[in-house]
Amino acid sequence: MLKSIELFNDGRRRWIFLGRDPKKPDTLIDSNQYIIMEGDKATLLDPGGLEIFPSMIAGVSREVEIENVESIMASHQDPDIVSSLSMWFSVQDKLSVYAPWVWSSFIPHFGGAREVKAIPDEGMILPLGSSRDLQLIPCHYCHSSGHFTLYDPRAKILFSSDIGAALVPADHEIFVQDFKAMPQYMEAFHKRWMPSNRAKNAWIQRVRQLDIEMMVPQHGCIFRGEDVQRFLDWFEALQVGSAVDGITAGIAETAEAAL
Amino acid sequence: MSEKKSTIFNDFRTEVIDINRAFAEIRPLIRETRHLSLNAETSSLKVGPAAAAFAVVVKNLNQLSESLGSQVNGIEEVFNSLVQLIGEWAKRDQQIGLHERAHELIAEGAEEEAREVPSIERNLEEGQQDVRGMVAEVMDHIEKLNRQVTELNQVAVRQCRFIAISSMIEAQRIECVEDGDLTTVAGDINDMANRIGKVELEARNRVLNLMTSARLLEQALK
Repeated sequence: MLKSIELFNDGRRRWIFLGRDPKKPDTLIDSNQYIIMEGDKATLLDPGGLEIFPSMIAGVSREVEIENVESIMASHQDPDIVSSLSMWFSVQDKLSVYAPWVWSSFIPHFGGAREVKAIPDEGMILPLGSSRDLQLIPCHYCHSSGHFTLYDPRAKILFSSDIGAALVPADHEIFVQDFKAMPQYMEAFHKRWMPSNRAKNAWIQRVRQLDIEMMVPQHGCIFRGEDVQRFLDWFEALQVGSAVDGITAGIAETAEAAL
Repeated sequence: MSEKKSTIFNDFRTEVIDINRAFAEIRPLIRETRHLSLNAETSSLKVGPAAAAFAVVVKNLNQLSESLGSQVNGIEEVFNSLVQLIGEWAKRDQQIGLHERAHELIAEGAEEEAREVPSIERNLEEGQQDVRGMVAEVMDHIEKLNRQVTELNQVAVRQCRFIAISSMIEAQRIECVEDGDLTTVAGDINDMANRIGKVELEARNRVLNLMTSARLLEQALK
């Protein structure tokens, strides 16, 4: 069963974390899923892959009537993000799916053959119930070419998708306890999966203007309070795009072999 | 799907892939039959008026090539539709598996106020109905394949053997006075008849194996 933690509740808006399934097969990368509720309506942020659908729906059904799940927001196109799409359609056929426009005709390949509501490059407001305050903030190239984070000004929570992801052991704490212990789980991932320093810094500059109390990534641990700024500082200093070194080394080897 | 059912299903899919290999050997025979027809025509023209009766052999070879072509097209059409159906079945089955697991987890979590999800129940019911329908359709497709392969035997193999015999008789009659080209052509037609027979036998055996596997699968799913 997925662990479920309420991250925010003001009587109207709720944020719920679902993740760290102890029964998840080791072959699958662990992922965090989130429910945002406005009254009795809900949206699912990156509801996950096909394999975790059964535990996800069991977890979601503890919090909300499935008929009240209005939408799914896919931050990007990866299978661990939204390959369960056809299954969600099979249980809630009135569901709207929001995804970056660049992936809007790719994501239907996961099945279900419904129209995906395309999020424009500059972002948009994600409607939920009667609320219109959830901001989709672009983070293109961090890592996907069409990619969004989501900021909730009421809860002061930033859903950061793959930014801040940490490949932690299965039984690791859900909240960051000691930031200094985190880079060992984050560095390789960010260096390799994030291709562009320019894109990374643009996103950091943008989110530094926000009032963030919690940053919730799609893998790893949740950052709270000062750990959010610590993460942004760490990320800003990090040089990403490490796989380019492999390509240039390959060029040298090819040139050497040609001589 | 249980582990046992899953093994039977995988064996069934392997048999379907294998059968495609047998069918794939039929198509080149159409082209070769056309070549045989051209050879027969050229050789009979070389012999001249004495080989005029050989024109019937040429005509029969052309008809054989056409009938082989249409039979192969028919077999391929049913086979492709079968493969597509099996793909859909596998996908539906995966969905049912996920719904079943979800159903179990929701039941387990009932103490923690997990709500019933009526659409899961509905999906399970519909999924099982769909699979039953798909099994029936798969069986129907295999029956069709069986009929088409039998037809291949009745039409193509027998027709080719008949052409081989008549071309041999004709070649021997003509070549009492002429050279041995037509006997060679007749020999080639006979080889072709044997090859079509061999391919057809292989395809028929595989279709029969497939029928057995499909019945096992049908029983396992009951």
